[in-house]
Amino acid sequence: MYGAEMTTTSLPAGGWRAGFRVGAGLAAGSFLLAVSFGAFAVTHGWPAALTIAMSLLVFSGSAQFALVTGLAGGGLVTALASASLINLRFVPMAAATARQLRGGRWRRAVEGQAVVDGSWVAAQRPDGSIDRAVLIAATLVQWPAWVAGTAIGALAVPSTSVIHTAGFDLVFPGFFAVLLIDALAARPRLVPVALTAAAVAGVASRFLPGGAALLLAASAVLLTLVAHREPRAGQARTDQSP
Amino acid sequence: MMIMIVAVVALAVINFGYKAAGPAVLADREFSPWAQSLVEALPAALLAGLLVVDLLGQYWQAFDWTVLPGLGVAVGLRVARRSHLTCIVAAVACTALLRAVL
Repeated sequence: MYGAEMTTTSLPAGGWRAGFRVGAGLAAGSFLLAVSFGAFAVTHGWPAALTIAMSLLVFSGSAQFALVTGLAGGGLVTALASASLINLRFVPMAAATARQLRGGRWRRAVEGQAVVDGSWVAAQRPDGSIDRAVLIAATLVQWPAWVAGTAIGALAVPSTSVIHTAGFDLVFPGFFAVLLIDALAARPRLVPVALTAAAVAGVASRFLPGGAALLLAASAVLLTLVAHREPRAGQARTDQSP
Repeated sequence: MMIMIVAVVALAVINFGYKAAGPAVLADREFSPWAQSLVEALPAALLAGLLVVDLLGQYWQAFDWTVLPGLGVAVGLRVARRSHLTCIVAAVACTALLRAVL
């Protein structure tokens, strides 16, 4: 389990209240990042209203950055491909929540929209299942923070030099870093996976666009198949023993 | 302007589809153990990848070493069990201070 206010010595109770508490911490980071995004988009020629609408409809920081960057340096197809590749991770992440969501297909599809990086990680239970209430509550707090931050950034438009001087460009990587620490604290066996992903991303980003480098980094999860196979081999030997 | 609108709508639809596909289709079916292990490992791999890609930038054009001490502060504070917000604010302050004195 992860969360903004939890300690690693005692797991917090799940549920809506825990989700809102975790979401508040995540929302603060999202807000700062959204201010950066709003300013970033407007300085790249995007109308403020459309920038805000994008945050309202898409609600995905990395994909939105990719879309704005892609349109600035290429065409629509390139920009959409880059942004879509980045968000491809939501397919397995949302699929992993399927068993915990409620209702018919349409309701589950709507509830699946609550899957965003921070909430999804925060909603993980020690047994690998998802706490539905934490997932939805944490996202409900972050969404308005993301839109409000975008609006402030898009309308006030702090210059890139102000963002750099104030250190706001650290919000995005800093947020990823603390979430990564949480993920590895909960599952230390994934440290080799994270190191491999970082190395692959480092090399790939030298030659490829960010979205493609990110997808290659995700291939590091294949290491878990090796680790998964070893206990089964051991189990087979045990089964054959008298 | 029209291209921007098309891009936003298209990305919103794609994003909705990504998140809706699994919950709408899979329902109560269980993942195989190997698929479950892949899904469990995805956050760590993607977060590590996002971190590195964001730090280096496309084609390594965005690397700024003054970010690293701030990241160190964020990681250290999180290991010391401080809240996410505390970690981020302290990290931003560290890097801003460093840039101010350099």
